[in-house]
Order: sequence, then structure tokens, then C-alpha cells
Amino acid sequence: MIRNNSGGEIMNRIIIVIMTVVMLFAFVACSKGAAESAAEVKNTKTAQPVASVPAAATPSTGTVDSEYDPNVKVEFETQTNADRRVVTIGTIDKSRYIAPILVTSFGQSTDAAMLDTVMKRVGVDYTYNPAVGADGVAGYKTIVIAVGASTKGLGAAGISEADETARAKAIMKEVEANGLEVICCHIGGSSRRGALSDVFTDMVLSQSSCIVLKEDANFDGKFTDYAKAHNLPISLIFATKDTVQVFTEIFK
Amino acid sequence: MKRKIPFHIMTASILCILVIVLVVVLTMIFSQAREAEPIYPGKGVTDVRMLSDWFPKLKGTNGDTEVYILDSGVKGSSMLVLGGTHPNEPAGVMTAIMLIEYCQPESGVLFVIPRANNSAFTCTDPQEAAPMKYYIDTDNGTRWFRFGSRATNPTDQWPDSEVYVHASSGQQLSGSETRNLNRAYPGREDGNFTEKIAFGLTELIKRENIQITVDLHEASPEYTTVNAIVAHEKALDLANLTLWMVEDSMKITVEASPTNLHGLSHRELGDSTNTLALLMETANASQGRLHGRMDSDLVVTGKDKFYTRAYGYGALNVDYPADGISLSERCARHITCVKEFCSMYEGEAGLISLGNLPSYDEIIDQGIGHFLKDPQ
Ligand SMILES: [Zn+2]
Repeated sequence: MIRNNSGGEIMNRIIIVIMTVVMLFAFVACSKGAAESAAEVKNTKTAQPVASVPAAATPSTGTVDSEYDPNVKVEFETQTNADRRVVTIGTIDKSRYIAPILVTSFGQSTDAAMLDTVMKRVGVDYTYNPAVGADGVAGYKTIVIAVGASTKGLGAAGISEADETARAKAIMKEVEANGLEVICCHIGGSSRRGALSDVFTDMVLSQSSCIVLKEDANFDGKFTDYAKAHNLPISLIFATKDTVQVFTEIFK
Repeated sequence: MKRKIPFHIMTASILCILVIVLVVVLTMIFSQAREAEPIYPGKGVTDVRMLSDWFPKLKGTNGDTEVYILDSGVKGSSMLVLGGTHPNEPAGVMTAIMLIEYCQPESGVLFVIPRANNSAFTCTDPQEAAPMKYYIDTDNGTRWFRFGSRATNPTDQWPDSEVYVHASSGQQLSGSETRNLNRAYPGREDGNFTEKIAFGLTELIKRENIQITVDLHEASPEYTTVNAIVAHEKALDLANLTLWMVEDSMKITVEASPTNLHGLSHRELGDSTNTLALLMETANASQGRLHGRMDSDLVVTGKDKFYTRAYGYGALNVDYPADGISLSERCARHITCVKEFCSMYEGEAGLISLGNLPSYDEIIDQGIGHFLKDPQ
């Protein structure tokens, strides 16, 4: 066997040296993050898709596609637009809404903070307390409630849905007992519609004397239908900032 | 007697040589990740400093990063814009670069950090098949930009603990968040590498008395907080006013920074400094879980039939048209809001006004490349 002569010895040594160098290189490469290097090589222009997302790279052409056409969008006809920013259906009796005014939230979305920003600009005296309890209602004459709910908002505030619903119910009871005027505000738009929001909306609508609504949330006609059926004035606004105009008309 | 090299030794040698070549080539490709894209400061830039000027311990590390200062020379308030907190969210970096190359403030001082987590630009996320670069056409030529990782390069900070304990609150998160800059605020002088970067940024905000800090991000279109401004409670009013200014051109919401989620810029910078802390999110398909082939085009055009389909099924939190949500549109959202944060801010230190910025429609119509310098 050649292995036993000096030539084989030399060969073995060379291989050992080569292996050492390879190991060394491998270590250098690894220390820079072996995983990343693998990922990146896949994406250099020369190396064609070793797709790490194979499912996505080969689209299915099953029946699923036929169910959805991205070009068909469900639109509803709005009454407001960029030029006609506020549309009020019915007449708001502004004499009903007297101070002291309480602004709160049902559902802990940031819409109540938006009402805070609005009221500041309108320039009337009011109290802002998004988490006011039922015992904090007495003494006020008017309550403005932001009804857009957000699970994120509840989570952020560390309040459970059940607790928030219970608080809302208790407040509405006090509102009725103390005869407060209620303005129902849904100004967060379509993204603030959903089962949870609707629970709060229904609770507030039943005692409201006026509705302020960012119109894109009315895609199913929920608010305008209710207003019509109960003969309530409703102010439709095109964008959140138009709340300022509506509130200025109501409170100034 | 003639000596013959046995076949198996021959084969082994060839294989070894091939491995060496492979390793050398891979190492070369891989080391390219450490090269940063060129940025060409525009007329508005009055000074370029390093973050280590505010926190010397960062000097010489991969965490040190450029701070571009655009001083109008007119007394006013100051704003800090952070791009590249997460280098796999390109709209943040590109917006910052556009501000550096194009903006000329008319009052106040603008600080821009395009690569907030510089280390995270030097690698990509494992198993994401992310491109190392993406390409944007300017009026005269194509420029490249680095696509990085969400987290600090493991070569700068390793290993991750099983559980990441946020230092000042004791909040426990998954160990993978240990290298996430946006879970490290307000940072620690003697903390881990990422906490040191966060500490440096907090130091800058404190010492320069920055009135407004905007941390620019992107999120996957299926994520719940997207197309949104997240605001610390002190900054909610400013965020709401800004929403009024931009809501006619874009769908956007304001979200309150959760008081019980720690380590994020909009929580900790607002709590530990006087700055109004804001964070913005746009929809980035290349970051999501549903996209198809991952390449520069996906990053730049945002065009992805799977996202468009997912939108049709109502699975997304944003409108996802067949034309995609382009990087231009995402940057237009960021730029427009940054500009309006300034225009709506009425601080005691005076106004801050960002001049020479294109409008939302101009950026979308002409593309972000038109508002970047040509490659030099
Ligand atoms: Zn991010």
C-alpha cells in the first residue's frame, strides 16, 4: 500500500493542513452568522430562487381565486365628501346641551382622546375622563360618549371587555337617573366598527338625543337607519377634524 | 517505480479545494453586508456627528451611528427622526435619507439618524430569504440600499437569554427580543449592546432637549397596528392634530401607547425624557408572513398577489390593492406626518418648520427616487 510509504505520509499531512484551513474559514464564516450567510446566498442575483417560501412561489389556481375579485369593491353612497364635509339630518336643539359637560369613552379607543383634542379647540369648559365610573356622573348635565371600541385600547388600559361593559351599563343607568343629555359620537370610522363597538353603540344610542358619526362607519346604514326610526338628529362628518365644526355649532 | 496517488485521496483533495473556494466566495459575499449604502447630505445638513459624541462607550463599536444635524439657524424647537430602528422596515430608513438629502428646515433644528440600530444593518433575519440590498431608480441612475435585520447582529451581542427581562420595568419578553432596539429603551449605560445603543439615543434626546421624537417603522399588513401613529399620552394631542392635517390624503389612525408595554420608544422616551414620543407604522409586505417571492422588487413595489388576495378575504388591517403599497407611498405617509408634526407643534422653545419637502401626492406621483440624489 502506498499509505505505508513516504509519499502517503506527505499526502496525509497536506490533507490535514487543508482540513485545518477549511475549519478555520468555516469558523470565520460562522462567527459572522452562518444562518444569515445561507439566507443571503440564496438571494444574490446569480443564485435563482431557492425559495424559502415555496407555497407562495407557486400560486394555487383552485376555486379560491374565483370567489374573490380584487377589482370589485363594495361601495356605499356617502352624503359627505371633501367639499361637503358635514351633513346634518334633522335639527340639533343646541339649547339641550348645557354645561357642565363630561367627555368619556366606552370601549377605550383613542376616539375619546380625539374628542378631548376637539373640545380643547372648540374652547368650552368640559371634563375629560375616559374611564369615569358611574359614581362620577352625577352633577353633569351633558355627557359626550365616544363609542368606538378597541380591544387594543382595552388591553393597553388593562381593562377587560366584561369590566368595560359593566362600567358602561352602570353609567347609562346613572345617566338616565340624573337626566343627562347624551351625545353619541362614533368618529373613528369603519375600523372602529365590529361586534364589541356595536354593543357600546347600541347601549348609548337608546338614550341619545343626537348622533355624530364619521360617515365611512355607516356602510351598513346602522346609524342613519336608527336615527330615522327614532327621529334623532344625526351629523355625518367626512373626516375626524369635522367634529370641530359640529361641536362648535352645538356648544358655542 | 512510478508513484500513483490513490483515487480516494485525489477525490478528497478536490472536494477540500472546492470547499475552500466555496467558503472564500461565501465569506466575501457575506462580508459585503458590512458595507453601508452611501448617503449624500443635502444643503440642509449643517453637521454630521456620531452617536458616541453623546455616549462615548459606543465609540468604535458597530452600534455607533451617524447623526445628521439640519440646523435652520432660526431659533425654534428641535425634532429627532429615527430611521432604521428595524432595518428590515425600509420606509423608515428611506424617509430619513430623504430628509437628509432634500429637507431644508426654515426654523428649529432637525436631527436625523438613518440607521438607529447600525449593527442590525449588517445581517438579515435567518430563514427569511431576505435580499441583502434593494434598488431604487433616481432620475439619473440606480442606487442601492441595505436591507437588514429586525435585531442587532448576533456577532455584536450573543447569546440571547431564554427570557428577556426589560431592565427598568422587570417586564418579561421572549429571549429573541433581547437584541430588539425597540424593546431596550430607555437603555442602560452598563447594559447589553442593544441597551447601550438605546441609552445613547436617550442621552442625545435629553442633552439636546429634543421636543419631538418620531421613530419610523413598518409592520406586516396583517398586523393590528398598521397605518397608524402611536403616541405617548403627552403626545396624543399633537398626534390627533396631525391626523386632522393628513386624514384627507390617507387612511390613518392614532393609537395610544400602552402604559403596560415597556421598552418601546413611544413609551419609555416619553416617560424618561421631556420629548413628545411618537412612532409611525406603514404596511410593508416584505415583512409579513403571507408574501410570495422575496426580493428587491417586493420591498420597493410592495406588489404581492397573495397580500391582495388576503385583503379580498378580509384578513388584513389595511387596503391592499393589486398595485401594491409601494415604498414611495409608505415614505410619503412618513414624510407627510413628520412635516405635519412640526407644523402643528406649538412649543415654548418656538416653532419648527421643515422646508423644501414634497407633498404626499408629489412623492406618490413622481416616486421617491425623484427626491433622492443621483448616485455619485
Ligand atoms: Zn419596527
